[in-house]
Amino acid sequence: MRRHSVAVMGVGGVGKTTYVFRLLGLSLKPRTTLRPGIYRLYLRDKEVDFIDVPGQVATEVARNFAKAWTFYVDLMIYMYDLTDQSSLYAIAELHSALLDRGITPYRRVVLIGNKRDLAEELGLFVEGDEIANAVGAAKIYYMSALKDNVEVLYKPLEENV
Amino acid sequence: MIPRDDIVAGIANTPLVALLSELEEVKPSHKLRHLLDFLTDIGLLQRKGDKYKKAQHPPRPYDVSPLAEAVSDLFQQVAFPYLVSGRRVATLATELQRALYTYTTAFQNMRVVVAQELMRYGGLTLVAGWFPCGFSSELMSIAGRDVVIVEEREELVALEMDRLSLIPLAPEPLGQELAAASFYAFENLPLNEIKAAAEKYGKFNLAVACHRGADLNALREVAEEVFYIKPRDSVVSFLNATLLDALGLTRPLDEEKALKKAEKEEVGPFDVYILRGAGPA
Repeated sequence: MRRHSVAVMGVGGVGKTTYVFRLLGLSLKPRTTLRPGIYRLYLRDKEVDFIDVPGQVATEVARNFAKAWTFYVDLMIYMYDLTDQSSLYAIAELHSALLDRGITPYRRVVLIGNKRDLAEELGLFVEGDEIANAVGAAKIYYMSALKDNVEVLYKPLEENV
Repeated sequence: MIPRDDIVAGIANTPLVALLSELEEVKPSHKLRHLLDFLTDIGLLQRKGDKYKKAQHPPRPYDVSPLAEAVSDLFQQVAFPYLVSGRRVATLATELQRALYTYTTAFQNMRVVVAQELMRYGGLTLVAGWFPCGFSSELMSIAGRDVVIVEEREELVALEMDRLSLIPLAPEPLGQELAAASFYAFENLPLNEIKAAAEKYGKFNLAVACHRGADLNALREVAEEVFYIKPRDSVVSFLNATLLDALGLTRPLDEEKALKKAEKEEVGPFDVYILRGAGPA
């Protein structure tokens, strides 16, 4: 069985751990993630180590993880909140902090705009195209990690791992 | 909470069960009754007096998942030889290591819920026996814990050690207990020598034993709080206990007396016993 690694990054509150929990089949409201976590998923014949990186504010994440990031993942998922423009711009900041180390620590990158349900309710939908281009994301996925069917949530993995 | 269908499918897809399904009736020796009772519990056989027959409506086969494949390998190569001849697994081939590692995924959701719903943030945590439940990184990410994992066979945790190396580590800034950093260590120790871990790492804030025969009184001496977890599902219990025996790992002992004063929580099909106010102040 082939092993793959996936990391999800973004500022605090965008829904990274909710996303991971839903992929595991759990509908729990997560606590704030303060330390990195690693979860195991199986996609047919693939074993995926899914790394959930703590969020909080962008500069904090960038500072901590640009220093500590010493590995290479098959897929990087940058996640932002579709109702919060600053969470999208923070992606660029995170990306630059990682690239400033002089490496590209992933094979492929995608962007997820989360909280689609809330964005539709509020009529406030922050498009991610510009930042997706800037970070070289292969695709943007708009979803609700809280409410969408798990098949929808698995798409970024199935299409890119 | 536990992918029981995958576990059953794994057992149903073994050559042993294929063979039994071709026999009209079996009258086993006393030694084999545990095995056939287990297959009856799953619904693969039916018992009639001292004989066993094919089940009329056995669980239907479906797409075999990686977990089911791992269970098949473990049942065929570890549990079955042990139940039939008492043969223990001396060396773990890579294929079996991987199957054992995959088997711990069956408990991942329970681990997440226990860490999230029942554990307080922070502190040094002892995992008294990594297999079968596989408590590890979720203690760090969800409950902000530093973790020491004790296991009796080093090769069992080799893949977990490899996996944890993926986690980015950073030194914990002074005065910031829950910084985005993690500490973890592995110790190869018999569970009845758990006090040696306390001598090395100091007293623990929490000890977790999941379906393992750790001495609860000894754990209470080395940790402020003890979580003892056991599955209520008889199929999972039997499979766990057989794998532990076959691998030469300490299986759960008679813990009823030690658990009398424990708080009890139910997490899906698991009972979580919590012993508080024990160990160091």
